[in-house]
Amino acid sequence: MAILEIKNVSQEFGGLLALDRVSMTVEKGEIFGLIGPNGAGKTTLFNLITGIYRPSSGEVWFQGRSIGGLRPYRIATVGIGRTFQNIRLFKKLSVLDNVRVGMHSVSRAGFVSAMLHTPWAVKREKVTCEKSMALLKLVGLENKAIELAGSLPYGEQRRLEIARAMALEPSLLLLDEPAAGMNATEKEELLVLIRRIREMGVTVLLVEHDMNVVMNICDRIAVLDYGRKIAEGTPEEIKNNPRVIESYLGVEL
Amino acid sequence: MEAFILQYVDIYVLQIMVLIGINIIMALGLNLITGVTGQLSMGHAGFMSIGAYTSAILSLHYGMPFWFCLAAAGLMAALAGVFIGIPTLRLEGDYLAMVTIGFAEIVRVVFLNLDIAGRGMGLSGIPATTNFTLVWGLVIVIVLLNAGLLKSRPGRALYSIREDEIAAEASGVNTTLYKVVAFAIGTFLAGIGGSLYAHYLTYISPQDFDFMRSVEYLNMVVLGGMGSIPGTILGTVILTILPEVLRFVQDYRLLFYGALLVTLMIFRPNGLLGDVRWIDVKRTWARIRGQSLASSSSDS
Amino acid sequence: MFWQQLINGLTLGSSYALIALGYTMVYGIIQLINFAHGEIYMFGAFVGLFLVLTFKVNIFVAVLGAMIFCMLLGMLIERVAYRPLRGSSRLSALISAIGVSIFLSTLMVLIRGPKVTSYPAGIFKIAYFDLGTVEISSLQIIILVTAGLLMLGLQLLIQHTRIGKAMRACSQDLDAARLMGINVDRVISFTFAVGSALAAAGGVMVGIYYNAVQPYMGLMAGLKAFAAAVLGGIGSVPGAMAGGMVLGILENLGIAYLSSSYKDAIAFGILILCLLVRPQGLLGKATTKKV
Repeated sequence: MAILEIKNVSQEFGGLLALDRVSMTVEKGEIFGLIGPNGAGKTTLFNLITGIYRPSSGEVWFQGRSIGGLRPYRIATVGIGRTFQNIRLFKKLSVLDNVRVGMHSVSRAGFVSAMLHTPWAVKREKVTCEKSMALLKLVGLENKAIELAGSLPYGEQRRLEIARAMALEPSLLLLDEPAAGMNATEKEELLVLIRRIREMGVTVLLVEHDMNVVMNICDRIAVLDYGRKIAEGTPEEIKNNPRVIESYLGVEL
Repeated sequence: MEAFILQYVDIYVLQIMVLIGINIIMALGLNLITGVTGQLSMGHAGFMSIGAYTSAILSLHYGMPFWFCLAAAGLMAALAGVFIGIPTLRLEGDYLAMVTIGFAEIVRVVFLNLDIAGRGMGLSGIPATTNFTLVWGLVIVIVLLNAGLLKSRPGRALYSIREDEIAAEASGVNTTLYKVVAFAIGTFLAGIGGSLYAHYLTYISPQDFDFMRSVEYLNMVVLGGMGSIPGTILGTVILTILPEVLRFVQDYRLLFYGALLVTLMIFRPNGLLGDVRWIDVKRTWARIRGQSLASSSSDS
Repeated sequence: MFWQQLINGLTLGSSYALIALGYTMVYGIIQLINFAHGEIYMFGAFVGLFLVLTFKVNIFVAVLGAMIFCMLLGMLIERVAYRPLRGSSRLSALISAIGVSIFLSTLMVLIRGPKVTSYPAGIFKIAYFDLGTVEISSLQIIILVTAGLLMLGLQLLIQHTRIGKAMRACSQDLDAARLMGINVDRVISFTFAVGSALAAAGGVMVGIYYNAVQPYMGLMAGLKAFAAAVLGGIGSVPGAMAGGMVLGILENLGIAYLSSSYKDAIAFGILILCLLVRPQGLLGKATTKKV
């Protein structure tokens, strides 16, 4: 069953076509990879799915409803979590608070109950805290809960972003270059983490440059080049696709 | 209570204490907008004047009871805040700074030309209902409510907007709504502060709420620490007392203010207590004690 | 009456435009509202006054002298108060700018006192030309022509010189410009110099036109010029010129047909209205944010 359908989507910036009639379908429960050279439109597609951009034309459907043009927070609320290529953490908040902000749409406590410290709000707070700690455990940061997010090393910041995105209990998780800047061990751990996330019932769509990561973990892969989708298929098919080799993978594979 | 305090405290000291209390209410409101949510408002005195005039006019011309005037002052200021906030806060960037300056200026010009507000002469003979007990009672209530807010779900959402608006949206925070609500609460407090001010000095005029006053409140928030309640209170206490201490160099006061802002931003951009966390203080303390324990045990 | 107000409005508007250019250029490159810009304009007015009173120079020399002085002042301010803050939050930089603004206006109060200073009567010979329904003074002509020439010069500078090209590159993308080998610090410094010089020219001419110079004149003029820059589309150079003119004309018409006591409220009313209806300004383009 399709969880995300991108139908004939184009995105134009001041006369420049960043995406040109791209269509693709992500099935529920799979790990879907999006690859392509720099400037191919991968991040643009992410921004478009998450509502930061409004598509110039075309439609985006998520779980059977059109989400094109919805505000970003609405898209987060309907169940799409994301991370950013150039990490966007709340640097001066604690690691735990970063995840707790991610739980914003899951919890419901409002201004009045928060100010008055009603028993109900206190209870919600406790639940939020426990769930957030569980997520920190998932990404291996449970011992860093009180540190400031900005003080974490790079690899841990990437994992914290994943925990924050998971906090909104998404059914689809968008990861924008999750392995960037990680060393070999960290990459191994990342692969384990992404598989665990999938086991939790979350569909994963990821942009990644590291071919080992992509070929290793993805069920299916789409290739973008100059804003166009030039191929789609299993890792095996992509590896052997002459067009992909020519424009992106080069001769070494 | 008031009489009891007056027996023991010098009237001049008491006066400063009351002003500190009023300023804390004002500054906490601005802290919520600028320090916590990161939206620069530079017309806080404008909202204060709306509160002050609303309260003064209601009690002078319509004989309304003080409590009613106080509440109406807060609500009127908040209403103006929402009116200004909705078109401005949906934009990213520094538009709010300019719009609030402009709005405060419009408000000042309107009061300057309004018969019911006494035009340039202002209003005098406002009932002196503000006193120490009332102001500090309110300060305590407001600090408690504010602290409750800041360490809960909506408070964290406000901080997240300051840190990264795009990431906040991606985490499910309706940033426009939260910015407007923060602005409404902040301007409500400015209205309350204005009402208390009017009923304390018993005389107000448009000059009391000029741009420099807005800058003073901004200074209090910035000096103490953006986003921190203890920081804001510290900044307010320092900047309310300092001019009294520096009375003999009155002319240089603003020169000092200006230089202070630049220096602070360069060397401590988050203010004195802005990035000091209670938990870090405790940890440092534990480490120091741990070290001294370790050294004493190795001695023995 | 209408045409007379139009001419008066254009004269006032050209001074707003001169100040607005500095805001818009600086904002275009480092996204900072240079809050001290109004104070540079005020300093320009005082330097012009000083030159006229002390050395009895003519209006053009006064303008030129003030422009040179403020050029240096603008570069100094950028070096001391803004450059150390590059890379920190925009809020910090803006607050620093407010600090500079307060510092400069207080400094001038300490030097000259808070009073209004006027030019001695009869120091400039002003001729009036009667054109039927309207009357235009030689001073107005000088102001309009000087402002026009300065803006033309700025356009040539931006469009046809190396440094102008570098400025345009920096306003597109500061990091990319740096990677292309542009000395970004120098371009920013130069931008402050040019913006400050234009504001100074505006300051001298307004000081003579209204025959009043005082330390707090920068605040309101600066705010209105910023409103003009936003009205025209912040970051857009032609926008700042158009915004300044439109604002000057509307303000004068407002005074003539509504009430002069609400003079200062008109500009801000227009600004708020503009943000409501067209936040990107008259000539600005809606931009997409980078993520």
